[in-house]
Amino acid sequence: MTKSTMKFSITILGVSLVAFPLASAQIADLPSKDRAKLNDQAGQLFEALVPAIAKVSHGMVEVRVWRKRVGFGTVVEVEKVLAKWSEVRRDVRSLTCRSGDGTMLPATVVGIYRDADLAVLKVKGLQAKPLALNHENTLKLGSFLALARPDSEAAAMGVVSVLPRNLRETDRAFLGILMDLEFAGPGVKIRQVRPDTGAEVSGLMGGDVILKVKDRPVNGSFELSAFLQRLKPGEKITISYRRGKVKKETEVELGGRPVSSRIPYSRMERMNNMGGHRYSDVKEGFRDVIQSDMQIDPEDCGAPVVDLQGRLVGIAVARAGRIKTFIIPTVSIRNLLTSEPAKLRVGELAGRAQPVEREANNDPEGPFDVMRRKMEEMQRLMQEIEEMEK
Amino acid sequence: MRVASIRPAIAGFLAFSGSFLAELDAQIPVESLKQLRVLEGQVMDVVEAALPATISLFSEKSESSGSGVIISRDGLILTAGHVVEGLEDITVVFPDGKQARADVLGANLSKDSAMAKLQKPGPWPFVEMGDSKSVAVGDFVVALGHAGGYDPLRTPPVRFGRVVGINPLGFIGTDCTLIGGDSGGPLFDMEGKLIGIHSSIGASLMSNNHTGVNNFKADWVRLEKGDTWGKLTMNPLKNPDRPVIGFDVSGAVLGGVRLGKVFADSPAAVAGMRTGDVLKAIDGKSVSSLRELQGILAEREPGDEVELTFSHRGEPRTRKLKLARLADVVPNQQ
Repeated sequence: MTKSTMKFSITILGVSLVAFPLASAQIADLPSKDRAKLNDQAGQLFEALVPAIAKVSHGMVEVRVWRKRVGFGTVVEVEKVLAKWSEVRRDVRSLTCRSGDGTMLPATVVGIYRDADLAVLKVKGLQAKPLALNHENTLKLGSFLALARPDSEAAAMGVVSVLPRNLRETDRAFLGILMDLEFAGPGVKIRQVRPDTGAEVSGLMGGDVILKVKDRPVNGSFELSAFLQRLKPGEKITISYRRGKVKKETEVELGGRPVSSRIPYSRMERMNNMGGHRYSDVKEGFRDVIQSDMQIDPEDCGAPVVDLQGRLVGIAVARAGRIKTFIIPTVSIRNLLTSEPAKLRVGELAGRAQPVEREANNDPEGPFDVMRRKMEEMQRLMQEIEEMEK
Repeated sequence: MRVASIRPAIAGFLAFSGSFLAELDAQIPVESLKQLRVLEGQVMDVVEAALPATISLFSEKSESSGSGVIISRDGLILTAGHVVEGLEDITVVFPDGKQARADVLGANLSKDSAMAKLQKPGPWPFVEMGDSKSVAVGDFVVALGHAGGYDPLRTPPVRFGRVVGINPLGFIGTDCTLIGGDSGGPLFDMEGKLIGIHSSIGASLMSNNHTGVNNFKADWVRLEKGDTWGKLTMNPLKNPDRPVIGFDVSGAVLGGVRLGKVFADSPAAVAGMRTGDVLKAIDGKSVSSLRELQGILAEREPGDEVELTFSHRGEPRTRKLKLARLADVVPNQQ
């Protein structure tokens, strides 16, 4: 939920499913009376959040590159601030932190937690008291969350959409089979076994029908992949299967999921980008994040997130799509701080607006690909607008 | 950006009836942390109760996925029309990864509503039906759905928001952000009752559209029986199969709506209605705004007989007529 109620858009680009046609209902322009009511209501909600935000707003700063805010920072130790690395790296030589009372202080990057996309900033002379990192994961689905601003106002409000989870694909167990989705069951039929995987080593072959995994009967492909994805790479599991009419059993050592080839610029991405909303450059692959529906801007990342008790429950780390913002939970931050952060590389010191890249997440698209994609997107939007105006 | 010439008139009428609705509805203001905590508790309760019944629907045939919600112990599923269009059966995946099959029943594509039924008798987890007619702008709501398709590593994402608009054809607009894969998923009120099914999104984060559960209730028997009818359209008001009488509305007056243009050979013209007449009631239901008129017509089909009460040059009249299809009255609409 955001504080201001935008003029209600009637640009309905009916998009619903990855492969289905357009469907849409359309809501007329929001009448001014309703808009006023929604604005008043949002105003009240955000006002009500102030006492909770006030408990952490003293422990945050604005992080600026040159004079421009690129994010916020959360004070975690004396003179030490965590901020979003992919934002502050734009120019690490011209970083400043501005605290709630207006004091501007120079900041230097002293370390990086690359997996979390967080930089440790040293801010000499910073008066702000570090925030307590003592919150355990007590959040439930639907718990209210608010993003703090240094002036004690809430920048955004949302709920816990998904409990903390690991987004790294390579941390997930991988069996190494392609499933035959059209097989009616019972069991799951293997269409193909991938080379150099646990499945191949164990002797599984295309055409085999998996009946049980770890003694649990398998009803279908979703059930099997759901079960497998919750296991860890390196784990050994027994698989009962049928080859022709013969029932067999084998032990498989699960591998790690290979980094998947880049998904083509999909319909999903187009939906995310409808209306020109902006997302963080680094927004995937985190090891431990809460997903929330709070609507923030990329430059709100690094700010503390509180619950209704005003406890620090995490740090906002990415605006990741139309429906999601990722937050690193406090427990995770605490663990992170017990480990030594990585040092800056030589190239990263040189500064000035380097393209944002990430080791685990290299984007193979060149600038021309990006431009072509944007032009295609624009063309498509124009077409849809024309169709609607007919 | 304007979509159709009819729109400004509707917007005007929404404002008019909006003020009327505001007085009827008793929304409790949320002005303190304490009240916020009460609301938070309600949201958590709604989610806890509704999550097990919020399912992902997947078609092996088209390799696409949507969402749905179970509304009875024996496994009746409500979803969006476009999720199951052209399919006979679908794979159902529960948030815990369990998998089952369901038969597709009927769909009214004009309302983007559809029904399916789990093949096994259950008992299945289910949610209670609510009433989408009593919903008002500003009501708090919770949306669930398998955004982006089924993901075994997370439960369907929870979204919290408010009703931001209600349209005369029984659709609800909210600021619960939706995306592909959510289609067919459930929208709940704060009592955990189902009030809508996710249908479509617009560019704005405030533009998330749900077909109201009353759209299902109105078509219940046909949907259960397995009929599929209607047409998916960007703008339901331009749907060629929409029932019409055959006139434009020039404005609301005391006790009715004044007729603008009356289309030649339309049921209205045949019944002797002329520009300047005032339509007062349909089947005894009073009509005081274009919105009310559209609401009444939305519950009917072309070919249905209705009784109109109107005044012609100040003189009261009652006529029976059969509703026509929009495309037959105004062929150039598309």
